[in-house]
Amino acid sequence: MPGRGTFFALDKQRLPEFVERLPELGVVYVQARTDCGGAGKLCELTPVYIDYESHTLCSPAVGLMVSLDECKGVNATSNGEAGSAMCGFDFEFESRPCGLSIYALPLVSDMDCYTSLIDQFFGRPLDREDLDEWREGYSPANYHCDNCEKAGLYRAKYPERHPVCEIFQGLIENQTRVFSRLMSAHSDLSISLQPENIVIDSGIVSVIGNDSSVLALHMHNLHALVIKRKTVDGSDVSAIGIYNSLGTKGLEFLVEDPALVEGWSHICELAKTRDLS
Amino acid sequence: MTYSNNDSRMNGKLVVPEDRLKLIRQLEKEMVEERIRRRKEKRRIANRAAKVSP
Repeated sequence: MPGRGTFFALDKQRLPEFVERLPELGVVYVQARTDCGGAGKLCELTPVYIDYESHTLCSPAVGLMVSLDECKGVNATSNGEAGSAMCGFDFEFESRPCGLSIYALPLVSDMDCYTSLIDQFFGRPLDREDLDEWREGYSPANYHCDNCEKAGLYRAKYPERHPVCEIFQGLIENQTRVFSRLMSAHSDLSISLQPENIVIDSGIVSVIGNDSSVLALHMHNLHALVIKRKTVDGSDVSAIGIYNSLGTKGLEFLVEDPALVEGWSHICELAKTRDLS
Repeated sequence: MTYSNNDSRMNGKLVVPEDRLKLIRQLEKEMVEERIRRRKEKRRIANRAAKVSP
């Protein structure tokens, strides 16, 4: 196997054949990313099937959907050392860093299968520079207007002042389970987590669950929160939608207690008063 | 309840740059035209169906 930090590219025509082999990896870490944030969890990608009508990879048990049409390519990373982390497949889409990664973890995944998938489906190793250049072509320009950019920089500089932190702090204290869904044109991932801790670093708020699930909120792009009561499968829930400055919803959180809407709205009202002072 | 820390939304009237406003007006015009076209098409199909049906 090649040396540390080597990248490979998948022949896109073999994408359907490749994704159908993913369950063989056993337990993997799946991470989906939009411009508003990301979600990740440890799971087994089984069962997995391709809906050939919509050209979508589906794993209903995991709550994962990936559009194969939107996928611009898959790159594999290998650092070639057993026991070291970050061996994974990066599904690349337009508008990087949005995307989906499936990581094989040495202690829980079938690493022999990982190596064998690279040998069977991926071509010769790529230069990091070539890969970065290829990715650059799929990195969109900043879409914020001056006002949104200013507000975004403020959120990234002081994430702890944003009501979303206070809301999650309350959920941690009350040990409340949160159902979250990350949605975009290219992928959709649902995770259920009981938040245990919040880590704030470089403008990113990470909510860590008690079972290795993680939600990351990219504060610069977290333009607005919409809080409302919703009915899901006949039950009333409290919902928070997270929107970017183009009005696109990137994340949604649901909690099975409709009464939380009042408390969350109050937190936002206080934050508005604080922002204006 | 919607919350955003964007000052322009909270402090006063939202100012849309002239070029974007022009684009929005153009899109609105196209949407109205499309709606009229669809309505005409629907009416045409309904008329034809009325002639065909016994």
